[in-house]
Amino acid sequence: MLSRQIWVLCLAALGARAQEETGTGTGVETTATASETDSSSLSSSTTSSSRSADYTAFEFTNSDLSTISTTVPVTDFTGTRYTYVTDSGQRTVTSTGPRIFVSGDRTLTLNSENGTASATSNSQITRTTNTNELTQLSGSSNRTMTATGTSSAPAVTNTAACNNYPEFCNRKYSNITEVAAHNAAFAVKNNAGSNQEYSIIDQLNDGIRMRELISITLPHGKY
Amino acid sequence: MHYINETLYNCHTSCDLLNAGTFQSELETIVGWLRENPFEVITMLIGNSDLAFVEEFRVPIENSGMSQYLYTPKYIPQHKDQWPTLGEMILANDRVVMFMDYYANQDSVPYILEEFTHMWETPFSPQNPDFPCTIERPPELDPQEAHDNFMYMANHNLNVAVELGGLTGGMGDGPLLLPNTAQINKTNGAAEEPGQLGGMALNCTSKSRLEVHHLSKRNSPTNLNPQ
Repeated sequence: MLSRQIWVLCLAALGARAQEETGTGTGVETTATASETDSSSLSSSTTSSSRSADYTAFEFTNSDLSTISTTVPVTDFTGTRYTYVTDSGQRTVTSTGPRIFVSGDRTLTLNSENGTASATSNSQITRTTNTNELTQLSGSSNRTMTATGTSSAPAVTNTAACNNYPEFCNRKYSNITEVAAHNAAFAVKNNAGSNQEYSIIDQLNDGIRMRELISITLPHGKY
Repeated sequence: MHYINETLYNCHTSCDLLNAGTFQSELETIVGWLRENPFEVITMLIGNSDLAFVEEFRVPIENSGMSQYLYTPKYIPQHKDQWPTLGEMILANDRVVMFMDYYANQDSVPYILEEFTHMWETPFSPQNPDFPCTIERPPELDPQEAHDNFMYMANHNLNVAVELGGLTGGMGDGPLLLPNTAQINKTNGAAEEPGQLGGMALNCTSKSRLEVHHLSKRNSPTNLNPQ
């Protein structure tokens, strides 16, 4: 009997939270009850969280409401509604060239597509090509200049961080793990069906770099 | 994503239940953020729940100004080791990678990538706190192909199945999945322990996958981590 009362209270707490905030949310930033709200929980996936203490299992013991251990049938994503493409080969589409990117006082330099970008913040780079395209971004206007000269042109220093980490500038998009927000857009005030508590802008500023408009998830950062 | 009156809406399940506004308004919000953050690369995954034609997405994408930021791959499909670096993408200002789960067509709309020729996913709505790194989608994907050419998306959210039959007098539709918020601090923790984000990343990334790959040949063809 006691456990039943606790569960009802728990439901009430979730409901109240949904009313006063914007929903219960998935994964990243939710807390179970109002008792212990961790404001840094959103970034906990990129900072160290070594809390490996015992966690209470989510269990109910009364007969009206019980957890089950069998697999619940979720969408199986098969059938004629879903089609999966199997590509046996590849087609080539386009190619691009070397460029330098300046925004404000930060500069990002890349020599070519073979990936010899500079990610260190204080080292000097010797240009090996005679022509570099320089794109300067200031305010809302884009200007493109072409600098022609011999090698050993003035050194360009990279002071930019790519997705917050300078070392990511040299890493392939496919070799970086980013945290995703499931149903990122669904932070609707006073709607208990909302999946996220914070707006899209808040999520981006907090480090979420992948957004799912409708489906699932949240993997890991800084790998 | 739902298609109503020739407009795409961000809705969950049904637009009567939860309507987060139009797709275009969300794109405009993100475009504003991209403009203010020129060194950031983000990824969008569109769940095409109404299986709308991919061409329908062109209108909000062009109108919102998002198209100037969208990355168009050099290969179809583009293998894992063929992606540019973040630096290269920032230089080109191709700072948004957009995937769609079903009915993308890269010949028709080249900047919306077919999700399941580029990445595989672990099971949807997992209930196993150990988060085994198993391929669920696309079905029948060869593990070697997955390892060599695919990125992955880990569904790292823990759910608990609750039987509601007693409360509803047996009128319910069976068990219901709820977010297991009691374990949230562990599930969302970054440590490299089983059940945590770091542990899942270790499970799924190359080093451990190379090791377990040989095991997987002896076991289920889609199970990359037999533990």
